[in-house]
Amino acid sequence: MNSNEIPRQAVAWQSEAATLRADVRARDDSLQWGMGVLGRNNVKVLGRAEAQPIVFVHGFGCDQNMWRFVAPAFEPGYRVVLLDLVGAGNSDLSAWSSAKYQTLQGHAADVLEICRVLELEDVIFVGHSVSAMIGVLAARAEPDRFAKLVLVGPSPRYIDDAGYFGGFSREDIEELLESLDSNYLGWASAMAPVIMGNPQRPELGVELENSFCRTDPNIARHFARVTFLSDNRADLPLVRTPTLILQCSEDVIAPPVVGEYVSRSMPAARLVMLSATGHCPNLSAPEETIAAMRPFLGPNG
Amino acid sequence: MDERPVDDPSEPKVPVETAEDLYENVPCGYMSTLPGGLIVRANLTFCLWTGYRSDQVVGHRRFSDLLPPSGRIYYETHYLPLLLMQGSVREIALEIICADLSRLPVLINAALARDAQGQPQLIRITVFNATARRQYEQELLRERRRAEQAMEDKARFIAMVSHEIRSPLSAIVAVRQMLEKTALSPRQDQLVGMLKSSSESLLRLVNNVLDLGKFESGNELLELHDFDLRALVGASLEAMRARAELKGIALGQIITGEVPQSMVGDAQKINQVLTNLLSNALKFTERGEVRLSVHCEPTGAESVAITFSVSDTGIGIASDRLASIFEEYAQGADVRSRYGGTGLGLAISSGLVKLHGGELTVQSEVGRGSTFRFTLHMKCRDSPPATSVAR
Repeated sequence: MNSNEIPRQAVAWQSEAATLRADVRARDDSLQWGMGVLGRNNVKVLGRAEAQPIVFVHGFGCDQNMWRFVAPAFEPGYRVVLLDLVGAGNSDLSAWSSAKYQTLQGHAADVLEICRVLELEDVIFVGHSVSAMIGVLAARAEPDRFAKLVLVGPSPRYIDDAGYFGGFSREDIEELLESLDSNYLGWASAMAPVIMGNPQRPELGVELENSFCRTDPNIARHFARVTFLSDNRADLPLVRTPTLILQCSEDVIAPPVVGEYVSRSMPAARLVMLSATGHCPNLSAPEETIAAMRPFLGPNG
Repeated sequence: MDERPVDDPSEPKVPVETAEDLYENVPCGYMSTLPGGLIVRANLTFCLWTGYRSDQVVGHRRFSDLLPPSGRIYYETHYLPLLLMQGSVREIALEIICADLSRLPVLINAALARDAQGQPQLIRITVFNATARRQYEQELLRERRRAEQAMEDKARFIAMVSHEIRSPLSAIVAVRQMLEKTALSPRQDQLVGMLKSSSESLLRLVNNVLDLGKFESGNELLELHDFDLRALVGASLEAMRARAELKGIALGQIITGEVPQSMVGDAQKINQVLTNLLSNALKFTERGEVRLSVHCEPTGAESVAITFSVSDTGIGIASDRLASIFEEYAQGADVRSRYGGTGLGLAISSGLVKLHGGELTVQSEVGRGSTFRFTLHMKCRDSPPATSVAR
């Protein structure tokens, strides 16, 4: 995709949305608006229709596929909602605009919009990595909407600051943005065949056809910047929603000391230290992740 | 090259090579790690490249320990999730920190080995030395950025100059208009007439350049209103009527399909596109006909696809030029000298159509004529246009 086209299409979409909202025939249009929102974020609704909703949101670099080993465990007891952040997976790339997603608030607004369209109340929000903060922002904006938050590997700020250890320097992040360029240069040509399908390895076919974690390089670079330069420390004390923090024991992206900071800063948070290592326990240790969530979520699970 | 005589009875002498030899000395790095990343095996090539002794890494370091912080982020957010979900990854660009703290650019392929129960057991990693490739990539990126920057600078410069030209030009046009209203001798009247055509064509050019600049900067926006398609088509044709009559060319319109009472779009910009296409068609046609066809096809209860086509019986466009005619300043020098114009019209029209989510295409045959076509998807309603305009 030509990088210059995105903002224009997004502008066109925004003006279309504005026209829609202004329209007198609100009912028909709200239906269209709803379809637009669900399509925009490639929203999937599974599990028990009448049950308490549990919304899973993926982190930077991935899409809703990263919940594939965890979300199914909650389908018998919950209404499971999966989505792709705009710019990731099968979201509508034309809905992306650099202005709207200049901060994590743009994604938080999308999550809230999805909740409104699906009429989700008493929501359990499960966010991995950067989406943990997206959940914090959403719960701050509409506290009554959310019953519980599960934050997997959260970090309110990745860059060290006076009296705060985030784990990275600004130079580290600039270097990451540079290295993304190198990887995305190869992404289209080298990654795509692997992700899109591998004729030499038919046994992998089913997995690969799903095309995991596709991303538009320009959007991904922008999202990396927004994610790793974000600072949401001030939002933490304002969220009173009962919160579970799942902290991996050796996580370089969100080290335990950061998880403890989040836990200390949020009035109703508690931290569970997983024996899983790395940053993606939902992929590397799904059973442990599920087992840690169940007691917090209560009898439905 | 094989130097042995063909009739040599002896067997080809293959040096003895164990699997171990091959593993250690193959010209790429091999490594195995536990699912958590702890390195449990590393071959000699890897050690030679990075300067580590095997016992410094094996059993002591995780693979991600060998990466700089930025690489660890990529590893945790892209490499590992993909590996765990799809079982393998290919050509991940990373840098490994060597024993002497220098950095080795590498490409990583990795595959997950699972046990009989399907649990991840080992990660097998192949490391390719990508020093030359990374240099080349970075050069490529640098050059791309430089080119993009140069394009932007140039566009900004052109927009600025055009803007600066427009102010004195507007003054020239205004003075000429005032001059027209004074008593003029026939000779003076003729001179003012030349002034009029020259200043107007210059103003058109400057406005086109500024329009194009708006596309490039992404500042051109749609203004959506309710509009009547028949009225729009009528107005576009009417504006061309006099020129068509002057050249003796028939100007026709055909509207087919179910035309809704009213639809939502930027009528002014659609009009600009149609006017431009019709004006081009008239310019390049000496005899015959220019026709505007519009076909409406409902695509839903309140949506419609409208296909506009402007066809002529003019000189046509050579096939080798077709691909580039929508690029700015693409008009051939021969065309410019004979027919005038700047070659900006089609670039602007194409941009306006794209802004509406459509694509301007062309079919043409030299000597027989051309057809320009685009389809727009729009919302529509069967009631008459609302009196107030929805913005």
